[in-house]
Amino acid sequence: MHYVALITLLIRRELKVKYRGSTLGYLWSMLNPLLFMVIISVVFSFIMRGIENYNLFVLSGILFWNMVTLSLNLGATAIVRNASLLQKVRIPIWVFPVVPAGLGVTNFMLSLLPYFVVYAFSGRAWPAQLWLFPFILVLTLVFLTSLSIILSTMNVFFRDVAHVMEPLLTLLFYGTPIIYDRHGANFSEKARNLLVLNPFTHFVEAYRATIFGGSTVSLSELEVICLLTALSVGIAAWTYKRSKNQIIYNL
Amino acid sequence: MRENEPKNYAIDCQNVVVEYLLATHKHSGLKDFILHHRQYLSGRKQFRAIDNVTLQIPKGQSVALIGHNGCGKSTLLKTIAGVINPRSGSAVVKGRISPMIELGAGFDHELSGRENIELSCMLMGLSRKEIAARTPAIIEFATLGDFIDAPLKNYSSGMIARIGFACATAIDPDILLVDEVLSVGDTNFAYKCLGRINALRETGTTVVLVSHDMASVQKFCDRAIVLEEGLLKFDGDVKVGVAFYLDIMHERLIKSLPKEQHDEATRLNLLRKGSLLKNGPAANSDVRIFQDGKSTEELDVSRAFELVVDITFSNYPVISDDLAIGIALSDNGRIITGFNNLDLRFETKFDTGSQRIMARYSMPSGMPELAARDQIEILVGIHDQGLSREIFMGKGASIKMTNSLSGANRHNYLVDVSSRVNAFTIEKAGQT
Repeated sequence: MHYVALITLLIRRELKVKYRGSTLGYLWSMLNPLLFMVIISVVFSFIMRGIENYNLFVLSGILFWNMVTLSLNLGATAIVRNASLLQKVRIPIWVFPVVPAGLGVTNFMLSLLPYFVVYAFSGRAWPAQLWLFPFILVLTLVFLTSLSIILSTMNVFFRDVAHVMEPLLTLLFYGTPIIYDRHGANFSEKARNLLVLNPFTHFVEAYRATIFGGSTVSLSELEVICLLTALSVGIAAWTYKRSKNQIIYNL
Repeated sequence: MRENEPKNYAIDCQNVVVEYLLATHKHSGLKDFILHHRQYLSGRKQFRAIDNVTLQIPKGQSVALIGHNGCGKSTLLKTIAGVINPRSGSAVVKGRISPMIELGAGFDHELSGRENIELSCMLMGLSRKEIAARTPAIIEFATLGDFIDAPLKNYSSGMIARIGFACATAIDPDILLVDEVLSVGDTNFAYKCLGRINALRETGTTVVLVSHDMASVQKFCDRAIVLEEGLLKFDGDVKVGVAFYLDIMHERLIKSLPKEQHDEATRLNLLRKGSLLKNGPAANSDVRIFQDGKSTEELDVSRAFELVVDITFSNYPVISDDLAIGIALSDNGRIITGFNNLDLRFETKFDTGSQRIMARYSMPSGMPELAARDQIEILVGIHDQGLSREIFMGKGASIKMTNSLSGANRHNYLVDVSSRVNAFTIEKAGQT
């Protein structure tokens, strides 16, 4: 229970530090994706026709992706960044990689507010599966936490991991149906199936179904997400357990 | 069968071994892992920082952990703090631990003092409720004033140390680990810190102190643990422990000297061990105050006076030219001020053998800094810097003050009186 309070405090610290000194403060969490949405929807409205409410479609994906990048970028260096603290105070090491995932999800929830405002003005009908959203959010939090634990642990032993993150996330940005729809007419069967291999595809599509609509999440899709989450937890637990006593010696 | 089996230890280390990977093999990254897979996994060299250390510290004891640089003091402290897991053996600790391994560990320089207090206390295991209850006391102890809501990056390093110390002691620890952190901050704050640690000790807090300052080690601790190259070399009375440590340091010094200097250094060391360690105190001393040309026990500090230390050496082992004859003035056990001839750049020169000398400090304008006291005690300490050895330490005299302005301007901090001492002479008082 104490750790929940500690992690909350550490998340608040990250948010405070992130926006310290800026006049708009937390508003940037909401403003940034909105600005990005405007740019993307202006640029792509000329190229991508055929998706209704393309701006909302893009925004729902961008918000999700912001959560992923924020969590994993900070997550990869979470342990190494706090090395000096870990060497001086007795705190379980897993606390530190949990913080970025929590931060990503918090930031995501903040940025959903303007999303729903834009949504309400669009005149679009509310998605039928909106009630599934909290469930998927929890699964995402667990999934990102696990990834963050795995990456930050690996980064202790191989500092290259942190450097790989940027190109890897750029690759994944285009390899995940964020600014496009995998089921669109201009996608071949082959490309469609290739994208299935990317776990984030399943997450973003489930999100879309709950907060944008247009499609629905099937039970089998939900099973895939649960399975991916369980798998990530398993790998994270195994990685962490195996190396937690070695971490301090390699900082 | 072990003795003291049922005793309740605050810290219980059994056969603790800590090994580090040598730095050259660290952070080698994926490339090395892939290209030199086999060496990477098998060939990594280990450095044994702590080698099979067993020690038990009962609740409420104050223990000094001493040894040369890199002997494993800090590693052992981190093991006790639970930051490092030993490779083998166990370190069991009972109670809430406050690791002052670095003051202000975990502080975020972008956050304000208040926010950092919350963060730091929570990292040490306090709940929000407990933190809220303690924050005013922490702020007061750290004397930060208006700075408390400014970001830490605007603080001076002393302010950060103050707030760090205040947090570390505010959690009412059962065990306090202090790693050479009291040297930061100014004298007033160091004084305040010592007072706080002493208060904690009175409530039964166990203290483990890592320090290179042998004077404070001896003042503060009853027991010393000496480490050398990761091995526990001594565990026992603090005075013997300090002498043991100085021995180790001398041996290491001799090893580091060029060959031609070995003989002289070894001779000094043997003399020191032979004459001083085995034969006990080699000096005796007495202090008198002279005013208006005669010895007195009542002093008017506003006028000139002289302080004379009468020292008798029996069989002094070496010719010494850096003997410090230190005077400390205290009021009810609390040291107010002090000085010694070396700090004032007055030199001394002594012969070997038995001798009696008078060291005379003159204060031509008195010492008005002391005017607010009713009574002071004079303590004498004689230290040979060359031998790094304390020769004599004792209470010299108790002096009544005649013109005390009772209560007025009576500070509890140290005052500097070095400018008052304006002459120092040594006279031989004949052989004894």
